[in-house]
Amino acid sequence: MEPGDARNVLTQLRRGTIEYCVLAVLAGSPEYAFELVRRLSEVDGLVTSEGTIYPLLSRLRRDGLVTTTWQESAAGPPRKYYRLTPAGGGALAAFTDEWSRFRDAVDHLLQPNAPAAGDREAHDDNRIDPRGDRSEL
Amino acid sequence: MTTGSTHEVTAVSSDPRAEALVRDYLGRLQSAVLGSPLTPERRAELMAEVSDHITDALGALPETDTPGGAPTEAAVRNVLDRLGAPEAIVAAEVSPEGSPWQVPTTGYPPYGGRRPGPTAFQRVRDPLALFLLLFGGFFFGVGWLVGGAFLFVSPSWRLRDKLLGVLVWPFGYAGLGIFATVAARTSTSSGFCTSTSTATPPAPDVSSTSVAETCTTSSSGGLPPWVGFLITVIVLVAPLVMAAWLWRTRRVVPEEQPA
Repeated sequence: MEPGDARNVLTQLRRGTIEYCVLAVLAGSPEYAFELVRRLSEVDGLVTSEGTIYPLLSRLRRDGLVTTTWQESAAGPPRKYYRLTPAGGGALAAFTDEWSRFRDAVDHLLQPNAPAAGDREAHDDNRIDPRGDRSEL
Repeated sequence: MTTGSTHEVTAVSSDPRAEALVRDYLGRLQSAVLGSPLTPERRAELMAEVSDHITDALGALPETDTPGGAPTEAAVRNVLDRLGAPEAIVAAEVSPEGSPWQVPTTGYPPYGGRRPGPTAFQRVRDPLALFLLLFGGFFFGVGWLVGGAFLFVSPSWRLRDKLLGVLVWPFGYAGLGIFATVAARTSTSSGFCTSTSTATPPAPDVSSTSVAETCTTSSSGGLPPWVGFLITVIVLVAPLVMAAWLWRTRRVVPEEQPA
Protein backbone atom coordinates (compact mmCIF):
# COMPACT_ATOMS: atom_id res chain seq x y z
CA MET A 1 0.00 0.00 0.00
CA GLU A 2 1.33 3.37 -0.98
CA PRO A 3 0.78 6.57 0.94
CA GLY A 4 -2.08 8.63 -0.41
CA ASP A 5 -4.21 5.62 -1.25
CA ALA A 6 -6.65 6.31 1.55
CA ARG A 7 -9.11 7.64 -0.99
CA ASN A 8 -8.99 4.38 -2.87
CA VAL A 9 -9.66 2.49 0.32
CA LEU A 10 -12.64 4.68 1.05
CA THR A 11 -13.88 4.23 -2.49
CA GLN A 12 -13.87 0.49 -1.99
CA LEU A 13 -15.51 0.85 1.41
CA ARG A 14 -18.30 2.94 -0.07
CA ARG A 15 -18.76 0.49 -2.87
CA GLY A 16 -18.96 -2.38 -0.46
CA THR A 17 -21.29 -0.74 2.04
CA ILE A 18 -23.68 1.20 -0.18
CA GLU A 19 -26.12 -1.65 -0.59
CA TYR A 20 -26.41 -1.99 3.18
CA CYS A 21 -26.96 1.75 3.44
CA VAL A 22 -29.83 1.30 0.99
CA LEU A 23 -31.24 -1.53 3.10
CA ALA A 24 -30.84 0.61 6.22
CA VAL A 25 -32.78 3.49 4.70
CA LEU A 26 -35.53 1.10 3.59
CA ALA A 27 -35.65 -0.45 7.06
CA GLY A 28 -37.10 2.82 8.30
CA SER A 29 -39.91 2.94 5.79
CA PRO A 30 -40.54 1.98 2.17
CA GLU A 31 -39.27 4.59 -0.24
CA TYR A 32 -39.37 5.32 -3.91
CA ALA A 33 -36.03 5.52 -5.66
CA PHE A 34 -35.68 9.25 -6.02
CA GLU A 35 -36.36 9.86 -2.35
CA LEU A 36 -34.00 7.02 -1.46
CA VAL A 37 -31.23 8.64 -3.49
CA ARG A 38 -31.95 11.98 -1.89
CA ARG A 39 -31.55 10.50 1.57
CA LEU A 40 -28.36 8.70 0.63
CA SER A 41 -26.98 11.89 -0.89
CA GLU A 42 -27.41 13.68 2.41
CA VAL A 43 -24.45 11.63 3.62
CA ASP A 44 -21.45 13.39 2.21
CA GLY A 45 -19.75 11.62 -0.64
CA LEU A 46 -21.68 8.40 -0.36
CA VAL A 47 -23.25 8.60 -3.78
CA THR A 48 -21.60 10.28 -6.71
CA SER A 49 -23.44 8.65 -9.58
CA GLU A 50 -27.11 8.61 -8.65
CA GLY A 51 -28.15 6.63 -11.70
CA THR A 52 -26.31 3.54 -10.52
CA ILE A 53 -28.83 3.20 -7.69
CA TYR A 54 -31.15 1.56 -10.21
CA PRO A 55 -28.86 -1.33 -11.13
CA LEU A 56 -28.24 -1.76 -7.40
CA LEU A 57 -31.96 -1.81 -6.54
CA SER A 58 -32.58 -4.23 -9.37
CA ARG A 59 -29.93 -6.55 -7.96
CA LEU A 60 -31.31 -6.30 -4.43
CA ARG A 61 -34.74 -7.18 -5.74
CA ARG A 62 -33.35 -10.10 -7.72
CA ASP A 63 -31.62 -11.33 -4.57
CA GLY A 64 -34.89 -11.14 -2.66
CA LEU A 65 -33.68 -8.47 -0.23
CA VAL A 66 -36.25 -5.91 -1.33
CA THR A 67 -39.64 -6.01 -3.04
CA THR A 68 -41.42 -3.36 -5.02
CA THR A 69 -45.02 -2.15 -5.05
CA TRP A 70 -46.67 0.55 -7.09
CA GLN A 71 -48.41 3.27 -5.14
CA GLU A 72 -50.43 6.20 -6.27
CA SER A 73 -48.84 9.53 -5.46
CA ALA A 74 -50.68 12.66 -4.42
CA ALA A 75 -49.22 14.56 -7.33
CA GLY A 76 -48.03 12.98 -10.54
CA PRO A 77 -47.79 9.41 -11.74
CA PRO A 78 -47.76 6.28 -9.52
CA ARG A 79 -44.41 5.48 -7.98
CA LYS A 80 -42.53 2.28 -7.41
CA TYR A 81 -41.83 1.85 -3.70
CA TYR A 82 -39.06 -0.36 -2.41
CA ARG A 83 -39.65 -2.31 0.75
CA LEU A 84 -37.28 -4.45 2.84
CA THR A 85 -38.03 -8.19 2.86
CA PRO A 86 -37.34 -10.40 5.91
CA ALA A 87 -34.26 -11.67 4.08
CA GLY A 88 -33.17 -8.08 3.56
CA GLY A 89 -33.69 -7.39 7.23
CA GLY A 90 -31.58 -10.39 8.12
CA ALA A 91 -28.78 -9.30 5.78
CA LEU A 92 -28.87 -5.82 7.25
CA ALA A 93 -28.74 -7.12 10.85
CA ALA A 94 -25.78 -9.38 10.05
CA PHE A 95 -23.93 -6.55 8.36
CA THR A 96 -24.69 -4.10 11.16
CA ASP A 97 -23.15 -6.47 13.67
CA GLU A 98 -20.04 -7.07 11.59
CA TRP A 99 -19.68 -3.42 10.77
CA SER A 100 -19.86 -2.34 14.42
CA ARG A 101 -17.08 -4.72 15.35
CA PHE A 102 -14.99 -3.68 12.38
CA ARG A 103 -15.52 0.03 13.07
CA ASP A 104 -14.67 -0.34 16.75
CA ALA A 105 -11.54 -2.30 15.99
CA VAL A 106 -10.31 0.25 13.46
CA ASP A 107 -11.19 3.14 15.75
CA HIS A 108 -9.36 1.49 18.59
CA LEU A 109 -6.19 1.15 16.55
CA LEU A 110 -6.38 4.60 15.02
CA GLN A 111 -7.11 6.34 18.32
CA PRO A 112 -5.76 4.14 21.10
CA ASN A 113 -6.17 6.91 23.68
CA ALA A 114 -9.69 7.84 22.74
CA PRO A 115 -11.99 5.00 23.70
CA ALA A 116 -15.18 4.82 21.76
CA ALA A 117 -18.34 5.88 23.55
CA GLY A 118 -19.75 3.04 25.62
CA ASP A 119 -16.53 1.13 25.29
CA ARG A 120 -14.46 2.73 28.03
CA GLU A 121 -13.80 -0.29 30.12
CA ALA A 122 -12.81 -2.29 27.12
CA HIS A 123 -10.19 0.23 26.17
CA ASP A 124 -7.21 -1.15 28.03
CA ASP A 125 -8.31 -4.74 28.06
CA ASN A 126 -8.81 -4.66 24.36
CA ARG A 127 -5.19 -5.29 23.60
CA ILE A 128 -6.15 -8.89 23.38
CA ASP A 129 -9.54 -8.84 21.83
CA PRO A 130 -11.76 -11.29 23.71
CA ARG A 131 -13.78 -11.92 20.58
CA GLY A 132 -10.71 -12.65 18.56
CA ASP A 133 -11.70 -10.19 15.85
CA ARG A 134 -8.27 -8.91 15.28
CA SER A 135 -7.41 -11.46 12.70
CA GLU A 136 -10.09 -9.96 10.51
CA LEU A 137 -8.07 -6.83 10.18
CA MET B 1 -45.87 3.05 -14.76
CA THR B 2 -45.83 4.51 -18.19
CA THR B 3 -44.02 7.62 -17.20
CA GLY B 4 -40.86 6.69 -18.97
CA SER B 5 -41.29 8.60 -22.18
CA THR B 6 -39.02 11.41 -23.18
CA HIS B 7 -41.93 13.70 -23.90
CA GLU B 8 -43.18 13.79 -20.34
CA VAL B 9 -39.72 14.58 -19.06
CA THR B 10 -38.96 17.31 -21.50
CA ALA B 11 -42.37 18.83 -20.96
CA VAL B 12 -40.99 19.93 -17.59
CA SER B 13 -38.80 22.46 -19.32
CA SER B 14 -39.79 25.04 -21.85
CA ASP B 15 -36.16 25.84 -22.54
CA PRO B 16 -35.33 24.13 -25.85
CA ARG B 17 -31.68 23.69 -24.88
CA ALA B 18 -32.63 22.07 -21.56
CA GLU B 19 -35.03 19.85 -23.45
CA ALA B 20 -32.31 18.87 -25.90
CA LEU B 21 -30.01 17.95 -23.01
CA VAL B 22 -32.52 15.53 -21.56
CA ARG B 23 -33.38 14.08 -24.95
CA ASP B 24 -29.71 13.58 -25.69
CA TYR B 25 -29.13 11.94 -22.32
CA LEU B 26 -31.99 9.49 -22.71
CA GLY B 27 -30.87 8.79 -26.28
CA ARG B 28 -27.44 7.82 -24.99
CA LEU B 29 -29.03 5.64 -22.33
CA GLN B 30 -31.15 3.92 -24.93
CA SER B 31 -28.12 3.22 -27.10
CA ALA B 32 -26.28 1.84 -24.09
CA VAL B 33 -29.09 -0.51 -23.03
CA LEU B 34 -29.58 -1.70 -26.60
CA GLY B 35 -25.91 -2.61 -26.74
CA SER B 36 -26.11 -4.50 -23.43
CA PRO B 37 -27.08 -8.09 -22.68
CA LEU B 38 -30.03 -6.94 -20.55
CA THR B 39 -33.44 -8.49 -21.15
CA PRO B 40 -35.97 -6.39 -23.06
CA GLU B 41 -38.04 -6.08 -19.87
CA ARG B 42 -35.14 -4.80 -17.83
CA ARG B 43 -34.09 -2.42 -20.61
CA ALA B 44 -37.53 -0.84 -20.66
CA GLU B 45 -37.64 -0.75 -16.87
CA LEU B 46 -34.26 0.93 -16.56
CA MET B 47 -35.20 3.51 -19.18
CA ALA B 48 -38.39 4.26 -17.27
CA GLU B 49 -36.60 4.43 -13.93
CA VAL B 50 -34.00 6.92 -15.11
CA SER B 51 -36.59 8.91 -16.99
CA ASP B 52 -38.80 9.09 -13.90
CA HIS B 53 -35.77 10.08 -11.86
CA ILE B 54 -35.14 13.04 -14.15
CA THR B 55 -38.79 14.04 -13.90
CA ASP B 56 -38.68 13.85 -10.11
CA ALA B 57 -35.36 15.68 -9.89
CA LEU B 58 -36.51 18.52 -12.13
CA GLY B 59 -39.77 18.69 -10.23
CA ALA B 60 -37.90 19.00 -6.95
CA LEU B 61 -35.71 21.92 -8.06
CA PRO B 62 -35.84 25.04 -5.92
CA GLU B 63 -37.49 28.10 -7.35
CA THR B 64 -34.16 29.75 -8.02
CA ASP B 65 -33.45 27.05 -10.59
CA THR B 66 -36.86 27.36 -12.19
CA PRO B 67 -37.43 30.99 -13.05
CA GLY B 68 -40.78 31.27 -14.74
CA GLY B 69 -41.60 27.66 -13.85
CA ALA B 70 -39.08 26.08 -16.22
CA PRO B 71 -35.72 24.68 -15.11
CA THR B 72 -32.67 26.48 -16.41
CA GLU B 73 -30.19 24.76 -18.67
CA ALA B 74 -27.62 24.79 -15.87
CA ALA B 75 -30.06 23.15 -13.48
CA VAL B 76 -30.86 20.41 -15.99
CA ARG B 77 -27.19 19.88 -16.62
CA ASN B 78 -26.62 19.52 -12.90
CA VAL B 79 -29.39 16.92 -12.59
CA LEU B 80 -27.90 14.89 -15.43
CA ASP B 81 -24.38 15.20 -14.03
CA ARG B 82 -25.56 13.82 -10.72
CA LEU B 83 -27.12 10.86 -12.49
CA GLY B 84 -23.78 9.99 -14.04
CA ALA B 85 -22.99 8.90 -17.57
CA PRO B 86 -25.70 6.70 -19.11
CA GLU B 87 -23.04 4.25 -20.18
CA ALA B 88 -21.84 3.99 -16.56
CA ILE B 89 -25.35 3.18 -15.37
CA VAL B 90 -25.68 0.36 -17.86
CA ALA B 91 -22.17 -0.82 -17.02
CA ALA B 92 -23.16 -1.06 -13.35
CA GLU B 93 -26.18 -3.07 -14.40
CA VAL B 94 -24.09 -5.53 -16.33
CA SER B 95 -21.12 -5.74 -13.98
CA PRO B 96 -21.68 -4.86 -10.31
CA GLU B 97 -17.91 -4.88 -9.78
CA GLY B 98 -17.58 -1.97 -12.12
CA SER B 99 -20.24 0.02 -10.37
CA PRO B 100 -18.96 3.58 -10.57
CA TRP B 101 -20.15 4.88 -7.26
CA GLN B 102 -16.86 6.65 -7.18
CA VAL B 103 -14.09 7.14 -9.64
CA PRO B 104 -12.77 3.67 -10.38
CA THR B 105 -9.39 2.89 -8.99
CA THR B 106 -6.63 2.17 -11.43
CA GLY B 107 -3.97 -0.44 -11.10
CA TYR B 108 -4.58 -1.06 -7.46
CA PRO B 109 -6.15 -4.16 -5.98
CA PRO B 110 -9.39 -3.53 -4.11
CA TYR B 111 -9.23 -3.17 -0.37
CA GLY B 112 -9.62 -6.64 1.04
CA GLY B 113 -9.84 -7.92 -2.50
CA ARG B 114 -8.38 -11.06 -3.87
CA ARG B 115 -4.87 -11.12 -5.13
CA PRO B 116 -4.79 -11.63 -8.89
CA GLY B 117 -5.43 -15.28 -9.64
CA PRO B 118 -3.17 -17.51 -11.66
CA THR B 119 -3.14 -16.98 -15.38
CA ALA B 120 -4.92 -19.45 -17.64
CA PHE B 121 -1.57 -21.03 -18.50
CA GLN B 122 -0.59 -21.42 -14.87
CA ARG B 123 -3.89 -23.15 -14.15
CA VAL B 124 -3.59 -25.78 -16.87
CA ARG B 125 0.18 -26.19 -16.78
CA ASP B 126 0.45 -28.74 -14.00
CA PRO B 127 -2.30 -31.14 -15.13
CA LEU B 128 -1.11 -30.76 -18.71
CA ALA B 129 2.44 -31.58 -17.68
CA LEU B 130 1.34 -34.85 -16.08
CA PHE B 131 -0.83 -35.79 -19.05
CA LEU B 132 1.99 -35.12 -21.51
CA LEU B 133 4.48 -37.06 -19.41
CA LEU B 134 2.19 -40.09 -19.68
CA PHE B 135 0.93 -39.84 -23.23
CA GLY B 136 2.79 -36.95 -24.84
CA GLY B 137 5.32 -39.35 -26.31
CA PHE B 138 2.75 -40.49 -28.82
CA PHE B 139 2.95 -37.06 -30.43
CA PHE B 140 6.27 -37.94 -32.06
CA GLY B 141 7.95 -37.67 -28.69
CA VAL B 142 7.62 -33.90 -28.71
CA GLY B 143 4.63 -33.91 -26.38
CA TRP B 144 6.63 -35.68 -23.70
CA LEU B 145 9.44 -33.15 -23.99
CA VAL B 146 6.91 -30.33 -23.61
CA GLY B 147 5.41 -32.09 -20.58
CA GLY B 148 8.87 -32.38 -19.05
CA ALA B 149 9.51 -28.71 -19.68
CA PHE B 150 6.22 -27.78 -18.01
CA LEU B 151 7.12 -29.99 -15.08
CA PHE B 152 10.47 -28.30 -14.63
CA VAL B 153 9.20 -24.72 -14.90
CA SER B 154 6.39 -25.38 -12.46
CA PRO B 155 7.06 -24.23 -8.89
CA SER B 156 4.59 -26.83 -7.61
CA TRP B 157 7.17 -29.60 -7.17
CA ARG B 158 10.58 -30.14 -5.70
CA LEU B 159 13.48 -31.14 -7.93
CA ARG B 160 13.37 -34.69 -6.56
CA ASP B 161 9.78 -35.10 -7.70
CA LYS B 162 10.55 -33.56 -11.06
CA LEU B 163 13.34 -36.06 -11.67
CA LEU B 164 10.99 -38.86 -10.70
CA GLY B 165 8.51 -37.53 -13.23
CA VAL B 166 10.88 -37.73 -16.17
CA LEU B 167 12.63 -40.98 -15.19
CA VAL B 168 9.42 -43.04 -14.84
CA TRP B 169 9.49 -43.52 -17.75
CA PRO B 170 11.28 -41.54 -20.42
CA PHE B 171 8.75 -40.75 -23.15
CA GLY B 172 5.98 -42.27 -21.05
CA TYR B 173 3.86 -45.03 -22.50
CA ALA B 174 5.15 -44.33 -25.98
CA GLY B 175 8.65 -44.96 -24.67
CA LEU B 176 7.52 -48.22 -23.12
CA GLY B 177 5.91 -49.29 -26.39
CA ILE B 178 9.06 -48.58 -28.36
CA PHE B 179 11.21 -50.33 -25.79
CA ALA B 180 8.95 -53.40 -25.83
CA THR B 181 8.96 -53.51 -29.64
CA VAL B 182 12.70 -53.26 -29.88
CA ALA B 183 13.14 -55.83 -27.14
CA ALA B 184 10.81 -58.24 -28.89
CA ARG B 185 12.66 -57.94 -32.22
CA THR B 186 16.11 -58.47 -30.79
CA SER B 187 14.97 -61.34 -28.68
CA THR B 188 14.40 -64.75 -30.13
CA SER B 189 11.18 -65.13 -28.32
CA SER B 190 8.94 -63.30 -25.95
CA GLY B 191 9.14 -63.81 -22.25
CA PHE B 192 5.82 -65.46 -22.15
CA CYS B 193 4.35 -68.53 -23.45
CA THR B 194 1.33 -70.45 -22.67
CA SER B 195 1.57 -74.05 -22.19
CA THR B 196 -0.57 -75.94 -24.60
CA SER B 197 -0.33 -79.08 -22.73
CA THR B 198 -2.29 -81.94 -24.01
CA ALA B 199 -0.92 -84.15 -21.41
CA THR B 200 -2.99 -86.65 -19.71
CA PRO B 201 -3.60 -86.15 -16.03
CA PRO B 202 -0.34 -85.91 -14.18
CA ALA B 203 1.30 -89.18 -13.93
CA PRO B 204 4.84 -90.18 -13.23
CA ASP B 205 5.15 -90.93 -16.86
CA VAL B 206 8.06 -89.95 -19.05
CA SER B 207 5.90 -88.81 -21.98
CA SER B 208 4.02 -86.12 -20.03
CA THR B 209 7.15 -84.29 -18.84
CA SER B 210 8.05 -83.25 -22.38
CA VAL B 211 5.04 -80.95 -22.70
CA ALA B 212 6.46 -78.17 -20.57
CA GLU B 213 9.55 -78.02 -22.70
CA THR B 214 7.79 -76.28 -25.60
CA CYS B 215 8.29 -72.87 -24.13
CA THR B 216 11.60 -72.84 -22.42
CA THR B 217 13.30 -70.56 -24.90
CA SER B 218 12.20 -67.52 -22.98
CA SER B 219 14.71 -64.75 -22.39
CA SER B 220 13.65 -64.39 -18.82
CA GLY B 221 16.63 -66.34 -17.75
CA GLY B 222 14.85 -69.12 -16.10
CA LEU B 223 12.42 -67.01 -14.09
CA PRO B 224 8.97 -68.46 -13.74
CA PRO B 225 6.34 -66.85 -16.04
CA TRP B 226 4.45 -65.15 -13.18
CA VAL B 227 7.53 -63.14 -12.32
CA GLY B 228 7.68 -61.76 -15.85
CA PHE B 229 4.00 -60.99 -15.70
CA LEU B 230 4.44 -59.19 -12.39
CA ILE B 231 7.31 -57.10 -13.74
CA THR B 232 5.24 -56.16 -16.76
CA VAL B 233 2.35 -55.04 -14.59
CA ILE B 234 4.65 -52.98 -12.38
CA VAL B 235 6.31 -51.36 -15.38
CA LEU B 236 2.92 -50.50 -16.87
CA VAL B 237 1.41 -49.18 -13.66
CA ALA B 238 4.48 -47.22 -12.49
CA PRO B 239 3.81 -44.11 -14.64
CA LEU B 240 0.26 -43.92 -13.34
CA VAL B 241 1.47 -44.20 -9.77
CA MET B 242 4.08 -41.55 -10.52
CA ALA B 243 1.46 -39.18 -11.94
CA ALA B 244 -0.86 -39.75 -9.01
CA TRP B 245 1.99 -39.15 -6.60
CA LEU B 246 3.00 -35.92 -8.32
CA TRP B 247 -0.61 -34.74 -8.31
CA ARG B 248 -0.91 -35.44 -4.61
CA THR B 249 2.36 -33.78 -3.66
CA ARG B 250 1.64 -30.78 -5.85
CA ARG B 251 1.78 -27.57 -3.85
CA VAL B 252 0.01 -24.66 -5.45
CA VAL B 253 2.04 -21.56 -4.67
CA PRO B 254 1.29 -17.98 -5.69
CA GLU B 255 3.24 -17.01 -8.75
CA GLU B 256 4.37 -13.79 -10.28
CA GLN B 257 1.97 -12.47 -12.85
CA PRO B 258 3.42 -11.58 -16.21
CA ALA B 259 3.45 -7.81 -16.55
